[in-house]
Amino acid sequence: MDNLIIEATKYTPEIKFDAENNQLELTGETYPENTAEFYAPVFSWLDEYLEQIEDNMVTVNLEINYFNSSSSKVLMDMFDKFEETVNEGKKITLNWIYDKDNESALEYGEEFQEDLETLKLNLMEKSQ
Amino acid sequence: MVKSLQDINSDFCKHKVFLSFSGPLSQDLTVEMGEILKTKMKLEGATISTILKVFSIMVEVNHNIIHYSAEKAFKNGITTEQGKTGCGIITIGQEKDTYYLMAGNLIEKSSVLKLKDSLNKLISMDSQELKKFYKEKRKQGPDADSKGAGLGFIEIARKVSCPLEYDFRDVENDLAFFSLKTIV
Repeated sequence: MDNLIIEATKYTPEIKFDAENNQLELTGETYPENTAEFYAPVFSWLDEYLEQIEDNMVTVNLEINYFNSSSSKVLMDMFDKFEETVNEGKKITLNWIYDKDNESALEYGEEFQEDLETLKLNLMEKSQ
Repeated sequence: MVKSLQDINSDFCKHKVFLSFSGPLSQDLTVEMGEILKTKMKLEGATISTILKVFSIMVEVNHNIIHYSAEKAFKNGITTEQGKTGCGIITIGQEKDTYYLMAGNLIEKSSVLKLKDSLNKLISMDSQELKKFYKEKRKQGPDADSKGAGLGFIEIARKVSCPLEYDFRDVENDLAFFSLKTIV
């Protein structure tokens, strides 16, 4: 299946979803004025991708410095989707990478972690 | 008329307003206002955490104005190169050792009661209750009349260091002017 590559803008993150290497990366800031519109193609790609991963090990790296309230909902929906996939017996490693100078980035990661039941969100300090 | 501009300016100076905008807001403007806000606060020695709090309140109020202001710059939902717009006013300033941000826009009178209720509810909550409410809403999904996640005001309430202040004033016919003050 094709990779999904979306370049970053000032208010949307860089998306590098590599289906071949099972490596999904989302990096940057996210505060589009119309979140649903921006993320629709991302979710349809994910649906198709997660359907066919079989027993491959998938790594998801999220490095988000800032997200607005509607992007927060999108991220939660994305994590719920990963959690459902893991509950089907598939393998996903989910990493939340934060900058230690930005104390709220760690806090946000912890809040997402609290809302996931079976999927572990690994909080990782960004290496300088 | 031309003299009144100086009155407005000295009023802003008196209230230590360092960034203001009045008119049709767009996503691009939000980004540019954010850039200048972050640069200015950084030069003043504000911490990353304070800068991000003020910036994120600005993003939420701007998006509220873009989506919900009853005053549109262009009739019949005409979209411009800048995408969706809505009219409002934003002022950001300093007060003692805090930053404040005020935002105002016209809304339909019919939505005043509901908005007042939700703001009062947020004002009555402490930080743990706000966190719980935010997470519940985030799991649950938005109300039918929301254009985003319905989390904007909760997000704002979680960032402020003093309770939110608001005002509603009848303007004309079916419209009221909604003002919000936030302090970080």
